[in-house]
Amino acid sequence: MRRTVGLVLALVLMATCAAYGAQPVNIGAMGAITGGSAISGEQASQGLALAEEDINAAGGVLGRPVKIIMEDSKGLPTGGVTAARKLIFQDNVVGIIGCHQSTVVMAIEPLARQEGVILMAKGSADMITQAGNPWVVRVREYDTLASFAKIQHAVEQGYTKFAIFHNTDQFGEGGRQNLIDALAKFGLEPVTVEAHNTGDKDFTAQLLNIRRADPEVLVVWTHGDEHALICRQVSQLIPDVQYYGSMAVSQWSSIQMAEGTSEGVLSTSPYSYLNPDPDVQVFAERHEKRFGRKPETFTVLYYDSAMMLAEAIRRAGTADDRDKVLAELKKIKGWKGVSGIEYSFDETGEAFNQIFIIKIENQVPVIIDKVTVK
Amino acid sequence: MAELAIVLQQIVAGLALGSIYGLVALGYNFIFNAVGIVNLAQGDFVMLGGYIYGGTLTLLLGLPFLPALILTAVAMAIFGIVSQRIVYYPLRDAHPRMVMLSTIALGIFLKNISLIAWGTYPVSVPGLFGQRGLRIAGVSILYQYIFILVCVIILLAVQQFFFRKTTLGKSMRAVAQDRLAAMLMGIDAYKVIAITFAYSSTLAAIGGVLLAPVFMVSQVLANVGLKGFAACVIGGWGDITGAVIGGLVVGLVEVFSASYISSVYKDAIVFAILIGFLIFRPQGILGRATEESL
Repeated sequence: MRRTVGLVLALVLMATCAAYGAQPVNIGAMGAITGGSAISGEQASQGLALAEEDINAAGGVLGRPVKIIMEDSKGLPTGGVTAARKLIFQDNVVGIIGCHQSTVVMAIEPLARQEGVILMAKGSADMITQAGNPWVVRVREYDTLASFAKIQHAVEQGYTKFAIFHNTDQFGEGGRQNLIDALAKFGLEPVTVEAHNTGDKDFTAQLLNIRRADPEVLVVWTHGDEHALICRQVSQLIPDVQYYGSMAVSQWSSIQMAEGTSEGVLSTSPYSYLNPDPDVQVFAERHEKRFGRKPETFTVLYYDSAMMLAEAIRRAGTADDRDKVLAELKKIKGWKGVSGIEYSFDETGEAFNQIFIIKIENQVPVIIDKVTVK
Repeated sequence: MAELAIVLQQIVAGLALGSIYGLVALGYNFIFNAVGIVNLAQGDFVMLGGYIYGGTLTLLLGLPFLPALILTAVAMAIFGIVSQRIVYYPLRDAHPRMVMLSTIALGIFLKNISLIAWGTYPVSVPGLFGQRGLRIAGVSILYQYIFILVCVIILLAVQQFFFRKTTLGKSMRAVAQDRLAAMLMGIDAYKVIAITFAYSSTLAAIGGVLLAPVFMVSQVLANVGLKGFAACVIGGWGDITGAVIGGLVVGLVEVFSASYISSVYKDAIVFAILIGFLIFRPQGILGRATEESL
């Protein structure tokens, strides 16, 4: 009897080892899990959790399971460097997905270049792909794309008087310059430019200065929390202005936070959960069932990045030769993601150059147009 | 005319913000009056009150405004007693500076625990009035702001009455002035201090409840603590009317400096004025000069 039990145990053990014994392939990721922009990190983690499931359900890569290791960048360059060092030197990852803050990406980019690790950046600053680092690709809309699309759309509607209201962080300062450049392409300049800090709660002073300048369009370049509060205060103080927001304003969570005051707001985003594309719908439904809320832009961009990196590893036939994986990644063309965007890496490392114009109608983000920049 | 409306709107915004800072400043002053320390976690108490009211009682349990407000106040009063037991009582004989450090630690703890408990998304609750407001001659005022102002005035009156007329209020002032002498007079100083923390936390809770509909509740909400601190310094530590006046000054300075000097440096301007007060008039607008140091 005892011998039978022992035999069964041994068999079970062997079977378990066969299934799980293979060393997993480590994929690194980072986002702000704590700190002021922790929302983005949470969205990223949720997308990555689903990606890991899907990659492993499809048999992993090269007969090995995939493990996605998410580290906290705290949204700060210092936190990002610590996280990147851990991922590279301790976890020996093939590549790092993130961070969603451009400042963090710029801080870890030299390390990725030095160690030869793929960096699938999620920051939107133009400089990320202009730094000439061959290890950096970007799977997110870049700032000139977003700013040009907004201004072009507004000019097509016949607007000529623009006010800019931007965050003072690197994201917002970059956005301000890109918006001014985009306006200049149409021979325009802003009637006023105002700024606010991350974490500000009251924008009365700036919005009143904007009201003085009497613009037709207010372009706001900031993050989700601030967007929600600015929408509320704009509806009180300058209700007649046409509001163009950055990507965050079209997010499901921002619309809830604005409590109805973001109705009619326009924005640019590579993602809307209302995209009728069946892939987008299936993913959105699954996400909502699992996490109780709609996926957001970072959720799907992190998910798609992980799926593409896994595919590149499969095509390269190795997870150790990162040069080969990078080359295969950059060969990806016309990859259909759950964001509804088709990814085709160009020579600079940008994954896409198209973006949706999104209007908030009846409290949901509706895609009304698509802009492609050549 | 359009310009007049804008200036009026600026004044309204300044007073609205100012009354919020004044409310936070009242909470600081209460503890300062009783134990002579500055509770540097006061802003985090406001945040916690907002989370309990918005995140748990309103969104999770679906309670209407009044029961949610009362339960939040009760929960925060208990929290105040517990936290004084942890951050004040063990250090009661140490220098006040030590206690202030331990309140900073408490603040950091609260920010992080709230991130775990209520998540990263700001909690948004409509409150009694949602985003509705009055509109008179081009000036718009949220009902919530009027409500906040009324609440601050009521709390101010209650607090004045409490410190001047009630035995408990007088015992609190006695404990603050000289704990040992108060104990010799038969005052149970530690009970009085526990009640002080409970009341101050309740004030913070009301602050959180009132602020949640206009500012949403997130870890950033704790930053109102800094403005409340500035309000205390400008108005005069320990002076209850001074706290509210200080709050209004900070609110107006913030809005007008953002309008006419720089919107980016509005906080820097407020804190520059704070430093100016600390150097040239440390007793504040209404405070009396004392020899004591913090």
